[in-house]
Amino acid sequence: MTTLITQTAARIVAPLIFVTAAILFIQGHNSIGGGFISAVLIVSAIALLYIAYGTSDLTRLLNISPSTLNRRLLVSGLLLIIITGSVPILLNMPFLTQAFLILPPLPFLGELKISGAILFDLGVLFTVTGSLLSILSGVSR
Amino acid sequence: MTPLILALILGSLFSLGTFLLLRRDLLKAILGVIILGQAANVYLITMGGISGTVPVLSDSSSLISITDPLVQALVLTAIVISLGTTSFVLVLLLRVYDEHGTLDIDRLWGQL
Amino acid sequence: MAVIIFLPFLAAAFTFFIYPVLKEKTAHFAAFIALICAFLILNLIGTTGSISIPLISSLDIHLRFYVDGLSILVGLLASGMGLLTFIYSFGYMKTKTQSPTYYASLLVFMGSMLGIVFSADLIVLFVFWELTSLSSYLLIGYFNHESSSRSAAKKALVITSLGGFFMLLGFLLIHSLTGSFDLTFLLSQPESIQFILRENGIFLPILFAIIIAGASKSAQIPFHIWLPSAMVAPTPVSAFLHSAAMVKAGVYIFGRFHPILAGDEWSLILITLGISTMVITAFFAIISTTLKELLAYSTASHIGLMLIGFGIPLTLNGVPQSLGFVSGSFHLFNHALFKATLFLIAGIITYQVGLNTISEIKGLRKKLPLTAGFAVFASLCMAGFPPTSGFYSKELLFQGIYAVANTYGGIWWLLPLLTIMASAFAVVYSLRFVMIFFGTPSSDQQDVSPLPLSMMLPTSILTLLSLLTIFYLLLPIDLISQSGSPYLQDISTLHVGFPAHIDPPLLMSLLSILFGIVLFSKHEQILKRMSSILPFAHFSADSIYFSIISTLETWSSSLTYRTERILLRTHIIWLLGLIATLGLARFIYLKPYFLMISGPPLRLDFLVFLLIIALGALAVVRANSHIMGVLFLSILGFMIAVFYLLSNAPDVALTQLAVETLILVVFLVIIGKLPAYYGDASSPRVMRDMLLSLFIGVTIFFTVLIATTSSVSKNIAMFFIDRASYPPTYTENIIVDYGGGTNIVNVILVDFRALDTLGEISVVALAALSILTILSSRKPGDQS
Repeated sequence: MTTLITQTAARIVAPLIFVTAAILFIQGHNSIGGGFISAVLIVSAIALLYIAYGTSDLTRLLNISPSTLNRRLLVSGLLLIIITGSVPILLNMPFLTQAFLILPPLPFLGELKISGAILFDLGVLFTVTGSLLSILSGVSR
Repeated sequence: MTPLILALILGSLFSLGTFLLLRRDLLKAILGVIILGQAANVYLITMGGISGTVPVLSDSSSLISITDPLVQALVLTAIVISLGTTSFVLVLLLRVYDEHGTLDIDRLWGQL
Repeated sequence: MAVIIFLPFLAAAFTFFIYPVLKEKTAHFAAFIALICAFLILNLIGTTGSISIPLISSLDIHLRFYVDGLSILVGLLASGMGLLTFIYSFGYMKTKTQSPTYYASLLVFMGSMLGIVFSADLIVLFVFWELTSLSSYLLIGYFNHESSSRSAAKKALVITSLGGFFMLLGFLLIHSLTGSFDLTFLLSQPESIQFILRENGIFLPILFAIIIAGASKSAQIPFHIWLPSAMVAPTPVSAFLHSAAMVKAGVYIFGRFHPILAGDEWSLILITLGISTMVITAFFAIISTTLKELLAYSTASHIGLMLIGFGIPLTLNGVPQSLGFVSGSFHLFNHALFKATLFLIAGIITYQVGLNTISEIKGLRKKLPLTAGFAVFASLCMAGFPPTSGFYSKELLFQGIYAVANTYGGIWWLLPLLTIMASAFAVVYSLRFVMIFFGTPSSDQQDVSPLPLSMMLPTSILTLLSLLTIFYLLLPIDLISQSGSPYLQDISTLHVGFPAHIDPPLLMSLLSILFGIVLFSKHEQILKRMSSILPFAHFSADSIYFSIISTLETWSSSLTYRTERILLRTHIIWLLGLIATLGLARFIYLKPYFLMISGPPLRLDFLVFLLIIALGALAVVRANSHIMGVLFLSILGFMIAVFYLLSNAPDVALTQLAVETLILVVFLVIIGKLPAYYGDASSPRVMRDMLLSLFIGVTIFFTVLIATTSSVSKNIAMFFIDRASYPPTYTENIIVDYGGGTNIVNVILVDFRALDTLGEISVVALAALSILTILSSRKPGDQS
């Protein structure tokens, strides 16, 4: 599959998917999107790169073996959730309680709201991306 | 009419899935499991009501007409999990073939 | 409060990250954690009370903590001994194979031990209880390349988790009547709780369950067999687990449930259990061959004595008294100090001289003068010589035992007699331990290797503490008297200290010491004469354990063979057929036929895509090669994504699209490695399968019909819709009750049902890890 056409197409399409995934992740709390969706999108983009370039080139590009990277992603995602989720316990609230902060009105930006759940979503993103990438790189070996 | 059509389609999906599940070819059995899973997801979504509005709040939408967001959340995670489990089953399948040289359940049974 | 318990667990997780950097200095890190815990617990002295953090509110399970004198005492022992163990480990483990697992499991063990003593929720307590079993399994089996280690670890796990099972049973029974897992509540009115339990006839089952739980952990007969086997563990582990922690968890349970369960049956069982364990294991200690084995048996024996203490009735001659409870806890404290010292000394001897068998070690006095001093002092404590701390706690216990015999008379006079006998045995085995330092050393002994300071320091500290206890006898007793037990009114009347005049308890002490010394001078001849029956006595309980285990293994494998060796297809046919029959029978009863034409007409776009979905499934069935089947499946999947989009579930549709793509990729990669299509079976079987499938399809048809037309309450959905976004008005800047997002599906995933999501992504992660494991495990052709 590593033809010039697929490589060229992948080079254009993959960044687009990455950007889409990023947008979907950031807007996830308020509009369509979220950790799961952007994770599967990222993985499909990387799958496209795998298909177009093969795993060895990608390994050289990232300067780290994908399987190590994937497993680290997976574990750090779970850890992120567990650690941030444990914070409420110290404040006498149940595990994984989420809260959001409303900032006082700023000029130009207006009233901003920051949700702690974004960290949880980031953990979901990491874990799902890491797992699915491990699966992909595992079966394609 | 809507419930009738939905019931017919889902009934046929489940019955085709079950039929595939009983094939002697292991890969076909797995295809059957996947179809059953998909059918269950569709079933759940229809339970939430398919004629409401998108569960994203905006100033104009009325709260009552929103489709049930809980089933959507359920199905969303179910889909991602199904990817993980399907890949797992496929790898198991690969392993079975490596070990036994066949995917025919009848022949595998003979090897036990 | 919660910090004390979670800190060790957190530290255990970190151990794996810092071990590559710190190597054996990880011991210092762990010691530091233990120090913090000990310090925090010291801060708690004087407080009694409870706090509660909801954990699973719907099941009434809360993270409740309860603090009183008893829990502070045991908690202090656990964290303090943990600290000394880690210091000692730094030196001891230098010569052994090291791994972060060692420190991590010790930390987890310490954390769960603290969890047991401070948790006030029975379920949480049970979880920590099982965690100690698990972590001790890892610790006992630390040298896992030796089969004796593995078998000992398994034995300890089997026995202690059997106890754990009974404990859960007891707790659930308590909950079934009182409706509460809250220890604070139960301890606030022990009499009425006991009355309720008795009225409903489940008092005795609960009593048995709790006693079995405690006895299995504290190595009482017949569960004592795991303790000597567990001596294969590294010595610091033995010192920690078998002097201050693991076995004391069992004793703690007795102390904790003492107020609720104490009564005639309680006293009878505990005293019988205690005295028989005390005598028998003391005898085993005399005939044991290695230092650690001797100490292990003596531990079981001393715990038997504590059990007698807890078993002493609450009223004697109509006078309420707390002698038993206080003296049991007091002896628990003293025993932890001197037994830990002795274990550490045994470790030092093995480290420096390289010997463990008692008969081979002689005359170490010259080579290890300081160690010899410590050992003699600790052994005298163990034997109960005046004026060591061991003497005082034993004296208190003797007071109680004498009072029991005096009150009940008759056969109860056996109790003091047997106690004297066991104490004399204690003198004998203590002297055996002392004697390794005396006599003339055999000439072929090698030189001693130098002892690291980190091993000497904990031993000295423990001896010092033991020594100090003599002068501050009332300190531990004061601590115990702050316990939640309501039977501690007469604490001020207790006489602790050297008796002013000769009374029966003192006489008992003197008698046992005298008898012990006489017995010691003759014990070798007596043992020689008894040598023919010794092996039998030694191994009977052990052999029963092994025969039970092997019988169970045979049973379970034959059961599995009978139920599981059926073709998977047969399982499915029976299972699905049965479910469909039951479901259909119910639906026919409901008569859903009239629902068929109800409901709004279907939109044309829905109809088209639904038809394509059904046709796709049909095509998968009829496909005559794997690749065609997979491609049709993929079409089906994409059509379902469109269906989701039409049914106003854009998030789901997007996910389905991406996942469908990925599944296709995985399928295509795997299919390339698989053989081609096989064709199908004979037509009778196809007919049968078709009938069953049709049957299932009809059942589902009716299910959907009923489910989609019945009016479902939208309360749950409305809750999420209301709470997803922002509150209508707000004054505070940080808001917990609301989701703070307008995408309700996402808010549910990351906020309201976050725990579910965590579980789900864990499944995905596990699937990934399993796939990697399967792929990297041995390939066919390799020999296993």
